Amino acid sequence: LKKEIKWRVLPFEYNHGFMNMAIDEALSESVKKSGQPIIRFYGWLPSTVSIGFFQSLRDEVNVERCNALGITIVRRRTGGGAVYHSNSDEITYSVIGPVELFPKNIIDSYKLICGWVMDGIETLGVDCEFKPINDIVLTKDSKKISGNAQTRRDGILLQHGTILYNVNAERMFSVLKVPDEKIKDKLIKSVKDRVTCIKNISNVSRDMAYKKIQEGFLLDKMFTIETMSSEELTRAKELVKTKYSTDSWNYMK
Amino acid sequence: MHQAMEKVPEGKLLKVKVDVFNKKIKSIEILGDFFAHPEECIKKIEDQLYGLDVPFEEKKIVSCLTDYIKRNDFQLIGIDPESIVRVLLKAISIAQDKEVKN
Repeated sequence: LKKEIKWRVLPFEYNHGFMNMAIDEALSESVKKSGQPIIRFYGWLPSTVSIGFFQSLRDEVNVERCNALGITIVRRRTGGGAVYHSNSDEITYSVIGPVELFPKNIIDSYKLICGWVMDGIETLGVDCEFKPINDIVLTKDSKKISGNAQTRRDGILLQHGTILYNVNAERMFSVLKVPDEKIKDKLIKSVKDRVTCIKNISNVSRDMAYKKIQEGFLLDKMFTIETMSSEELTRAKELVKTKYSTDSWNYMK
Repeated sequence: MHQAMEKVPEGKLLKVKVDVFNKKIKSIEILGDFFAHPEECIKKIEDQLYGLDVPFEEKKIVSCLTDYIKRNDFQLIGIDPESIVRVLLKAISIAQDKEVKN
């Protein structure tokens, strides 16, 4: 990656789930015009279930349970699986840039961007590695700590992903549907065996973890810390209204 | 619709839902936690399979889909034409079993 590239960095902020997905799209449009790539960090308020573009919402999500708990449900523009984003348990990022900045091969581009995420996680004193297609696992126990998803559209690459600060497998399976209720306990156990989080490797607070991850992420990059422009914000709000909050988008499949 | 699914070896979860009427595929949905670029290509692949006569020759349809995907420069990640057709056939056989019973 060329060193002279100057990244726009939008620091951590909480948003509604619809807004988070709308911001990713509004910023993609903005990058299309400016050519300047963006890294943003964010959280979900309230907690949100996001589903992959090719998933059926009703097949994957316990809608009634989400409604009862005040959990938002939103379809992503990217493929991949259903994710429960707790408002307190994860750090989410998006990388948005012209496709020319990244390897043409999709797995290679995951590997590059996941490498930055790994630089971030490794500031916490633990080794991790990229596990194709789209996961990051700890080297010592091969447990997953980060999931990532990518789309390319109109010459713009968007990759977003989560880094787990804490895991609550019971809550996760109360809002995501399981193929068979009888094996739910088994699934909860298997998540505990396969998935880990920052809390398991460090005593650091989530705010501090975020600061260190951002530091690692931006290592060797030129950047300026910025906020969204009013045009970007207006466009994102419009996309919430016309797309991400609508049943025709979220219940499309 | 009748469905079948599979965790594709080295890949992702793939689910196919299908309806068969008068020995033709009358509706089809390809779902899962895979990736496809551009995303619209899955709809186009579904359109290719819609209206297909059942039964069909597995190899022939796999090769048609492979050509179609290549020609249009679609990229599937975590699934492939072989797995799509394999799961489709499974879903069709479930659909036909139920049809016979009814």
